[in-house]
Amino acid sequence: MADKRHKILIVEDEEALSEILRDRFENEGFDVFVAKDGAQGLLMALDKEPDVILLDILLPKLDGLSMLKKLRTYEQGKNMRVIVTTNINDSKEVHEALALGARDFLVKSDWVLADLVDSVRSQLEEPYRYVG
Amino acid sequence: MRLIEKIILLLLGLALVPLMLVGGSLYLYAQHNIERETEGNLNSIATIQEHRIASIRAINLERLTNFTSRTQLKTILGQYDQTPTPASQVQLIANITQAKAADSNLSNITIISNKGVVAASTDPKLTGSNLADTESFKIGSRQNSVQLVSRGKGQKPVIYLYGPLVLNNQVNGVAEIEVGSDDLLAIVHDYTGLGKTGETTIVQILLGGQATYLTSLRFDKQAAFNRTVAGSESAESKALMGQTTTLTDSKDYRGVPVLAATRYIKDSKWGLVVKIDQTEAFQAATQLRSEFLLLAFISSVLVVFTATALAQRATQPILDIDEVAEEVSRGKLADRVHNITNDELGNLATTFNTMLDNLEVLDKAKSDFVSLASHQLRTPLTSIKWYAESLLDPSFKINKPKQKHYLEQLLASNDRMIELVNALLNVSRIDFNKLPAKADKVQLKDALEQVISDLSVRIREKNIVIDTKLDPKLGPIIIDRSWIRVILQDLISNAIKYSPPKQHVGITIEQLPEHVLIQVKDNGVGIPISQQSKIFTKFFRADNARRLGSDGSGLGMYITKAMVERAGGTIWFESGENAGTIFYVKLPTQDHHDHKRTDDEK
Repeated sequence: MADKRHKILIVEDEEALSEILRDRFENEGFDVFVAKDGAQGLLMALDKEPDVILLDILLPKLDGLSMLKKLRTYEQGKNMRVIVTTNINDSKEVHEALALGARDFLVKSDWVLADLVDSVRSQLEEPYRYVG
Repeated sequence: MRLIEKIILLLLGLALVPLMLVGGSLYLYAQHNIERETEGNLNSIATIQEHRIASIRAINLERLTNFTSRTQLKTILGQYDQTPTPASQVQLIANITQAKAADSNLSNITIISNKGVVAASTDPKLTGSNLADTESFKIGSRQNSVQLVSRGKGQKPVIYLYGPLVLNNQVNGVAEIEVGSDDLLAIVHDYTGLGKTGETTIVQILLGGQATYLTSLRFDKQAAFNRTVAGSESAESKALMGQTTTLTDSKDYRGVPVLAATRYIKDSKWGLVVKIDQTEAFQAATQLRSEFLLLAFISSVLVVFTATALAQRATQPILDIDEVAEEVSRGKLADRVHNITNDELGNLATTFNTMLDNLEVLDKAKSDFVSLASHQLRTPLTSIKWYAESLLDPSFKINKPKQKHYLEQLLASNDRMIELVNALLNVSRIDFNKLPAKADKVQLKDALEQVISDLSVRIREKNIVIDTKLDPKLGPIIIDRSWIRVILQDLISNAIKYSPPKQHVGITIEQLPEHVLIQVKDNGVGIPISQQSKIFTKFFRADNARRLGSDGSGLGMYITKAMVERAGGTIWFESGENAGTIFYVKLPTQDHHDHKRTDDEK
């Protein structure tokens, strides 16, 4: 299904980061949605039903892990692919995120965008199901 | 050595050293006194014994003199000497038999002719014996003599009295009188004042040249004329050498240490020794010593027990604190000292616990800060990385205006980095009291305009309206130019950050007699009353501020307050949740910073 346009939701409060993420994913042919906080992110996830969510952890209003927890309580949200992107690498939060079915946990400053885009694309080609 | 052992040893020393010193000196004093007293006693007894023996001798000499003054006897003996006839012999025997009967003390009387032959004797066996070569005859021919003589082994010695029978200046013969020695022995064996081991001994150098005991001894009943004196250092030898002395380091015939007094009875050539065993003499002192040793032992046991109990009580709190301190050194801050004693150690424990409370808070703040700071630093770094990468990626095509925008984003991220690094540096300088200060003359109007201009991008983005109202009388103030900039920037950027878009932020600067008062007023989210006390705490961010945005290091207010106070000013605020905030900063117009300290800091 290479011709189908993938939908990606970026939940990121840093405008500089969300802007470049949007530019790069749009350039790669994604439909990009951006949310500035966890509450907005949850609403957009349920509304737009993206194929993948790039989710920051430190977020205003509702933090990333709480948002993920809530997302998993909704039928549409149960099997949504979530990649947690953050700049904190606290092992407690990594475990929590992975337990909530995060597909991946990546530290933003470790990645170049080209690789990040490739990684998201390859993950979209694998079947995914979260058994919570 | 452990503390508990040191305390026990110290207390033991404190208790035992004086006890031993007192005990030891008492013992030495007692021993010395007893020695002197015993010496005195022995001397007195020796003198008494000397006199008693002398009186026995005197009595016997008197007996002898009485006997040898019998003129009839001497006349008959003179006749017998010339012609020894049985008749004169009978007369002699009659005479001495009568003499013996007259004095019951005399057991035998023997008359020896001037030729040395026994002329008559109350002991018939002796009659006719030739005694010319005997010592007794030789001595008896010359002078009166009293001698103690052995009767053979196991027999009581007897006293022999010898004396010349002189008539008309002519020695007609020698009288030999045997007297019982009971009186003498009674004196020698009188142990009055000599306890259980003391005694009087009499020695004489006998014919063989050996110094020999003349009487049976308290501890050797067979000694008379049998046991010889051993060694020239013995008390008996000294007595025989004519010394009248007391000895404190002598040994007797048994080899037992004794205290002794010596006398020499010249007429008899007898050595007289009065002695007593040292163990008996010093028994009181020895008993005193053993009592002291027992006391010392009991004291030691008591001291060790009480000292152990005391030391344990004293050291247990230290051990408790040590245990917790060890936990802390392993990085565990949760443990606390639980047994708080009511003394200095209890105070230490309380202080220690408080220190741990503070340390725990600080530790949490530090780890919070590290994760916050790493997040804060990584965010602009990530931004710089991604924009630079995108500009360089040949497969990512963008137009010129977009490229320019990316470069602006790069610059903004870089500025954020610099700001953050400066804030961290300031915090560390404040914490180590090394914040450098210059005394700049600053026009607040210029400084304020500069800060507003720096913040113009943010002001424009949120459509914030800045109202400034400056006192027309406003003069310059003396303060470090960089400080006033940090202070104004922090207050105004906070007012912008926590205000909803399109709101007003009011800045008023008022000239007071010696101060300026700066007010920064916003209509923003405000500070919840419950968290107002912590607003100047390092790394602290109010809950509503956190919800509003993840940027914000929690360092701004901490730095601002430190700078205001170091400049001699004060800072306070009025706020309530969703009621806006007014920050007040009052700064002195003249330089109040302590430059002496600053010089040191540089």
